[in-house]
Amino acid sequence: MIWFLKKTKKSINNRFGFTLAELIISVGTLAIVGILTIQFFLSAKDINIRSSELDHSVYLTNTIIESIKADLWDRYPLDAISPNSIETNNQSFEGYIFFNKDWQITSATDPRALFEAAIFLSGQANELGDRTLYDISIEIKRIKPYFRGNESQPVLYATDTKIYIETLKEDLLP
Amino acid sequence: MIELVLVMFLLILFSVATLSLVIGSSNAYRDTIKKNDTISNLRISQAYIHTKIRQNLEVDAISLRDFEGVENAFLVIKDNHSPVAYETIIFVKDGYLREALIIEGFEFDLDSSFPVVELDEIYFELIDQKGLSFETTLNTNGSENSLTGFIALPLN
Repeated sequence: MIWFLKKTKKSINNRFGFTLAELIISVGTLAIVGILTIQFFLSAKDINIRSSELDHSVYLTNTIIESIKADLWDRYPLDAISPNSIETNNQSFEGYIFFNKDWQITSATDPRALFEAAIFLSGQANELGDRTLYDISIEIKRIKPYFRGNESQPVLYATDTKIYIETLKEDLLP
Repeated sequence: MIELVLVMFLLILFSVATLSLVIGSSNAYRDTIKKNDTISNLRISQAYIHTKIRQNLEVDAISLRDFEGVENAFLVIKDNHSPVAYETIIFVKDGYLREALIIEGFEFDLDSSFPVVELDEIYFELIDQKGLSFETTLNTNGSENSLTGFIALPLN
């Protein structure tokens, strides 16, 4: 230590050491590296959240389609379709289900509502007996934007398919 | 001398800041990896059960059965395609989703199964014999993560 101090003192006397410019450059470099590192981890966390939400969206969409196929309008998640958002006109159906951040069902008026599942059913002409072929379209949307996202309401997952189910009647709906 | 001490202090300060940044970053990275693994395992378990059921989606082929010493019911999938009727049993034990294949009617041993993917809990529910709901759960970093799937079953 004494040797180091003596050597350093000698260095100071020799006017060697850090100049202000060197200090500013090193501090600036460290700051930039620090910001980039933090940004990298924030991006990783953001991607993780998006990935998890995409998984939930895909499985929720499947659950909705399979529940409609099984005619389980009085069970989760179809029972959560808000009654005032249903329109049954000319064999078409439109319904919305809202979820909070933990994918628990909530209402549209809940400030904690974070996801919206929009369900559209449209009947085809080839009705057979009491069953009809429907075009079904499901879109899972995030109501609030991501921390680093550009879209105000990003669509997490959307799918269109056809299902052959019992013809929709008013009393079938929740 | 004061200049030297100040510069040293500044360097030590930056060293400490850099060290804490590195420690914080590595912890965050570890958490991210664990979370990724959890998401992946949940996705694999759901896809696995979906595929297994889809392969045998016939009337009365899917059922639930209780076994002694195990909390949740097991999923039993009957395979009617082979000359000998087989049953595939899917359940969770010792932190893994496991599968066992037995001849129908034979005694089932919990240990004669193979692990599929890491999983803490699975809960099957047959809804009015119209559909099968299954919730897979995995705990990571003290938080519980789960995914729910549902399949409509064929009716008579």
